[in-house]
Amino acid sequence: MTAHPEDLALARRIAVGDEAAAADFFRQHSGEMYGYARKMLGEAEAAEDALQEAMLGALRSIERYDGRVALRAWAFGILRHKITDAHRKRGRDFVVSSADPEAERFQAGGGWKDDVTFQPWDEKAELMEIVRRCMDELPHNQREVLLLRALEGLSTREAAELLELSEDNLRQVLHRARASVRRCTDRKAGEAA
Amino acid sequence: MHRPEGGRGGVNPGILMKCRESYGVLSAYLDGEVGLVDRMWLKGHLMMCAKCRVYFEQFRRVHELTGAPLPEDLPQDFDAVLAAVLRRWKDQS
Repeated sequence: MTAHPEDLALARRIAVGDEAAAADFFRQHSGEMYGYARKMLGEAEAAEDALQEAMLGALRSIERYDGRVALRAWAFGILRHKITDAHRKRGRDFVVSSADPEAERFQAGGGWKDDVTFQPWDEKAELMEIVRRCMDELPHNQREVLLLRALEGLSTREAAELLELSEDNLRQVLHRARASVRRCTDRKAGEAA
Repeated sequence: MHRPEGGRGGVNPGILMKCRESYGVLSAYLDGEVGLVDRMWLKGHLMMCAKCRVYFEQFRRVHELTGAPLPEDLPQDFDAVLAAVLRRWKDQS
């Protein structure tokens, strides 16, 4: 029993050499894959190389696809590894964080500390632009979770599987990523005011 | 009482949910992944806590803005890239 029988059928067509099926699949999903690689790697050329290697990697291992997750999610998992390889080749450090950005702002009793205050954001501020800049500043693990969560139709289970996390871990990283972006946006929006 | 943040809850927070517990369920709440009881606890807390109301609204905006779909521009020479990939695949198979 497979969760994605249509994807499995498509993968089997590709596995026996159906180039048109492979091309259709990549034409449909390469836009979001390239967009993700651009966000994670920053440079167009590096993103294009990662996309190319991911497509080739997916084709070479298509026989191992078993239909448990959507073929698109499986392809994203391969892209994620190619992006990791690209980072390593360029000698870049992975900044990974499991810290809770708000942990020190609570009193022992569970309320916010007295000196912690929040002011509503000015909706005229360029919030989308500020949020994007804050996402770029996130640790690697938090940025990838936020970006992959934005993929339409990707379930928590599929996102967790492709990130090699438990669902609870995924939720925790996602929560901390959003909390970090909120705090960063609050700071930048305040500076811009 | 402290619950791990980001989780789906399920821990009775006592008579009143505290700010830290409210913070801990925001993400799951906005993803539609908390149960009825935790939703009620959170709404009750937000009615009473002005700081958490502002925090919640900011978190909601971040949830919305970070959830925007990724741009889907293809590389300019995508057809050539795809053709090259398919050629390499065929050559090695």
